[in-house]
Amino acid sequence: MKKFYIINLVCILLVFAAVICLMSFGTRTYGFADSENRYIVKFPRFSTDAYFSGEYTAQIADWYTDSIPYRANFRSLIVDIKSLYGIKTDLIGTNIQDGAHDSRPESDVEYSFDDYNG
Amino acid sequence: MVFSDLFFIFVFLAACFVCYFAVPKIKVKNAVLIIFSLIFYAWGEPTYVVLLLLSAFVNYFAGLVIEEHRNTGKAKAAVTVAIVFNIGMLFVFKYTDFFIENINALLKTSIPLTGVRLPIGISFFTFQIMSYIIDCYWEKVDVQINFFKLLLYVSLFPQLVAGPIVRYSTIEKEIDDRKTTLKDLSEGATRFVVGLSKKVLVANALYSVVGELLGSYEETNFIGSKLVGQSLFGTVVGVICFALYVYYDFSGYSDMAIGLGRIFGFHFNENFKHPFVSRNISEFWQRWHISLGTFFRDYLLYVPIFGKRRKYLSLFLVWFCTGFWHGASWNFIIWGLYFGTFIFIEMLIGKKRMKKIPAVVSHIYSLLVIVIGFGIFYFENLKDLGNFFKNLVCANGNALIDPFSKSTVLSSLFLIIFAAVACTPIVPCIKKRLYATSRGEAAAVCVTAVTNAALLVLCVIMLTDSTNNPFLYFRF
Repeated sequence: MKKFYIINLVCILLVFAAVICLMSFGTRTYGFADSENRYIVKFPRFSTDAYFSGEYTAQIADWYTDSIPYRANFRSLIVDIKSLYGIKTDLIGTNIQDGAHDSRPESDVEYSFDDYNG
Repeated sequence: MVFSDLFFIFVFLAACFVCYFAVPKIKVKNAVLIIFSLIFYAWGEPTYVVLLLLSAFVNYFAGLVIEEHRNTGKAKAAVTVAIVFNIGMLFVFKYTDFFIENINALLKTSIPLTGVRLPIGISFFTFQIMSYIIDCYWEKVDVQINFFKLLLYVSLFPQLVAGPIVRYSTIEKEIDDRKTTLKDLSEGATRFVVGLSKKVLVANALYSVVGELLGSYEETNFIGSKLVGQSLFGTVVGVICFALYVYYDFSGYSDMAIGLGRIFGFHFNENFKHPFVSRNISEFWQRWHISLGTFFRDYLLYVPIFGKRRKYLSLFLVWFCTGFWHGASWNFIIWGLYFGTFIFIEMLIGKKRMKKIPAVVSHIYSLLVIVIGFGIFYFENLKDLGNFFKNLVCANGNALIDPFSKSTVLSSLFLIIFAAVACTPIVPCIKKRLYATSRGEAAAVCVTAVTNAALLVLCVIMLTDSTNNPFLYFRF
């Protein structure tokens, strides 16, 4: 069993070390994230108000994650992983099938682009 | 700071491991843990860390008085003061506004709300320190005369903000004498990775499904428009997903806490034991959030407030408190009493008769009660709760099934099936069979190691999207 423990730890530590190297030596991402329509979180400026409200420390953690090197690649991988969770469906909308009735208020219903193309 | 966060794992934890394992002496190791634990708590609560220190000091002082004046009125006074202080602190920060709201509603007054913010983890560390002081008074544990050792017990970051509620007796000896073996490191690391995966890969994704089907309180006033008119199918699947979400979120966090504790040489008790395979509600609560259930059993149920003849009153008091502990809202009280009622009924039926019920029937009964219970847990607004029950019997004019819910479920179908299967003891059963032969053991070893690495990689990828990382029990 000792061999197992070592193999297991080595596997986990390798990933751990790889991520630490990436986060420590990789070039951080900054600027505007087009896909999310917002700016990447910057390292916060210290102020006593921000510190005692918890905002300063929270933003450090947010900066660390948000400005991760190869950010776009990770985002793309997230989409790929999420696609494995189930079966893709094309339409979220108001198909009336077999008498099924969508009783949600009209304003909540989303129509696909194809509905307007007729 | 939350465990499921890149900063926590690759900055805080990395620094903590380096400092902890760099020093040989246990006293210095303890000092390292105290410093990192206070940094951990102060990171999210820079002002409320004072409360944590104050709580430790008051209970430490009470312990000294108990020891000095054992079997006298002063010892009783000391434990009373400590309990009143602990419960008082919880009351002030957690329940003040709840009582003000209800007084205003009942008496038509306009008392302003305090708006006081709930310190993270207060429900957990308050109960933890209460268990210490009560056990001191009952002479179940020795009073800790070293303040820093008691502070270590109270503030230890693996279980500080979300449990498990660790009894002092569990780690009393390990504070002074512990070693981290290779087995502890490996199994602790595995447990942490498994817990992280449960949280990041399963719970977070289930939370999105729940939000789509039932609405979410994090989106202002959104829940009403999702729930009214939601089909029976959407409502049922939504609440099943919520039950699974709570399990994976909370048990995942407990796994991470137990794993981290193990790495530091502490052995915490289990907090979840495959609760969804229970055959009755009594069994469910012996498998779900075990540390809370045993706390109430040991410190409230058998305290003879009502006397032996009125044990059922004690039972309902315990379940009232269990519900109320979860949140300052009527739905949590209803939730606690709901489970208390079923346990009461099961007690009346009797264990022997309950065992005679066919397994299929008892499993279906348990799952029905549990899932509906989680519906009560989810809807904090009583109007929404009413609509939830109406949806379950199609009394809202809602359809049996709708395309939106069908589409939402299909897009997370494999996740839901996996979550439902994996919450059973299937993995331990497979492991047991594999470890029966040397070839099977070798295969299991390789698969486990590779799986752990793969899971960690997947978790890192998913954690780069920090916008979807809720943590349910932080609210408590």
